[in-house]
Amino acid sequence: MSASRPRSWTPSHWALRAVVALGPVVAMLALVPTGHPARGWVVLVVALLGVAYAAQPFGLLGTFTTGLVLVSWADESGSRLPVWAVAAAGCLVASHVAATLVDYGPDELPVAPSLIRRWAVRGALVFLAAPAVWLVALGLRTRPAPSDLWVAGLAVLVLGALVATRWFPTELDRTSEKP
Amino acid sequence: MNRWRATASLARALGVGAVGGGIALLLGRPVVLVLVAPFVVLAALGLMTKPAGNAAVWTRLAHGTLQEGQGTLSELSLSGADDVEWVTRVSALAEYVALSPTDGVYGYFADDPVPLKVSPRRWGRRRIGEEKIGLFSPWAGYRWGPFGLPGLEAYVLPAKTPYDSVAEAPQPLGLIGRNRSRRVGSGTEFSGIRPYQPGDRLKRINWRVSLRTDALHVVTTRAEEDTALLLVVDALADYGVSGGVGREESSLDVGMRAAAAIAEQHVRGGDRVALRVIGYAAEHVRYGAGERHLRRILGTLARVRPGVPPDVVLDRLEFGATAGTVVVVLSPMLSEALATATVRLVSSGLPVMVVDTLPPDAQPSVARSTDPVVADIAWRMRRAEREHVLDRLAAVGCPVVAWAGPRTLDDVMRRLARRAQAPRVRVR
Repeated sequence: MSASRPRSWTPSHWALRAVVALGPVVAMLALVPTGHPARGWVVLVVALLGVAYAAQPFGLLGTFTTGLVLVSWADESGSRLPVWAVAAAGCLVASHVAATLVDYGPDELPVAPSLIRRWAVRGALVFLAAPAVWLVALGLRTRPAPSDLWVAGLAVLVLGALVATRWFPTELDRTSEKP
Repeated sequence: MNRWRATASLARALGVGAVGGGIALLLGRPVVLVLVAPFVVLAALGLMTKPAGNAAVWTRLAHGTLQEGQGTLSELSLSGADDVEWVTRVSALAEYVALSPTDGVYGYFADDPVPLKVSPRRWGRRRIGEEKIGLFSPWAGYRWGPFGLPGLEAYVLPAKTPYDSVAEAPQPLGLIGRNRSRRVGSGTEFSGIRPYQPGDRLKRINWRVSLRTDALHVVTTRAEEDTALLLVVDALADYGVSGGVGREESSLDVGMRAAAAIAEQHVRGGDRVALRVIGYAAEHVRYGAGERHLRRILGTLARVRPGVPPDVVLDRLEFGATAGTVVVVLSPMLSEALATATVRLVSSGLPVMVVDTLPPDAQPSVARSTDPVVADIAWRMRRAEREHVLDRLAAVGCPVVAWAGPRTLDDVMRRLARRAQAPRVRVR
């Protein structure tokens, strides 16, 4: 896909790309109240990558930027489970959803309010997986962790996604339910 | 070949989920699992809603025949696309084609389709509906395209300028029509009273005169006949700038719209109308009448391209006008050859009128490298020559009128009709 030209961005694109750029940065700043803030140069690198990510949301920059945030959180938090991780997850989800909306068409396409509403609801629903996992992990902290606990945790997440497709039908599900 | 491909969003969710899961498992960092949990859910949902089959997409216009200024809908049809959630359409901007939305870029949910509104703003050949389409599956997991649709070529007819002439043709020479003829016939207008002859209708007997003269007399009326009208359209060049229907007009715009209006008026009045285009393809429509013939004429006008015909010698132009034909030449009169051919027609005794289609502020299109001062001088010289041509036409008795909408030709037609009825001196 060709490079974006800021001059051709619609107002909705500007707003969404601002969310794309700021999401990872705010997720990094969520480390501050935990008492173990990230290093300044790391935050700066994430900020710069965030701007590049906002300019080109359809490449690998998004994965790389988010991955850098994950590494920072892993490094600074250790085995702790600060509640601010849930807020950071929300920021990363917001950034991802905004990048998804930008990728629905060319820069000149004004993003439809109905599409934004649908994805706002979707983003809020999938975000709930973060506090759910946080609560499960918090509850299991006091017990000695079995070696395959994390694998089981991942399996639970995937199962939860499968269940979600039944609760929130898509066009595919609606088609299969027709008489 | 088009097929469903994973979007950047799905790739990002899978990548982040895999990286985060790996970090959490290998380093024992439960906090990372909290961060990537929503991404795992998004990736799973995207994968679960992968479309099963291939989609087929095509567009169609709600109306096949369009006039300039009319609007229609370009509807996108999908087949085998039950799994599509969102459609993005990016239409190419074509010259003299207005779109709604204005830039032709918009999207909608597939279960609530929104057609694209299209309106050609100028007559001629227009490519409508050339666009790129993108289809998205639910949860933005997969995308089809963007792929291009070539669009449809449409011939846009000239707009019908209201033309409601009440003038009659100068020399009708047909069978049945609405124009009063010099001949006596079965019309409605009183011509005279003459003695009864075998074969006269009894209801035509004028009893007052018959009683006074003691001999049967009948009322005679003038015949109402159709006439043959030849429209000659000068499409050798297009002068001025065209802004589309309702805006500034070029010389060819004026000619096309006036020809369409005149043709419609006379065809609906029962006259036989022919069309001769002096242009690149030298289009020609023979004499005819009726609605189908009118559509043929309008369709021919829509196909006109300005230019000098390659296989016609302009100095020996012949219009093929026969006796009883009224000739209307729609031209900016900037071509010497066309002016000479018009004078020849007038000299042959046919009623000829010229409709001046040159807009008052028209400028010729010149190459960018041309010195504007030189171009201006050349144009002024050309216009001076044109005035000389118009004077020459007036000298031989050919009326020249600028097209000013309805009833432009009324006065001219009346004068030509009076002239045709005036007695002529024949020198033996």
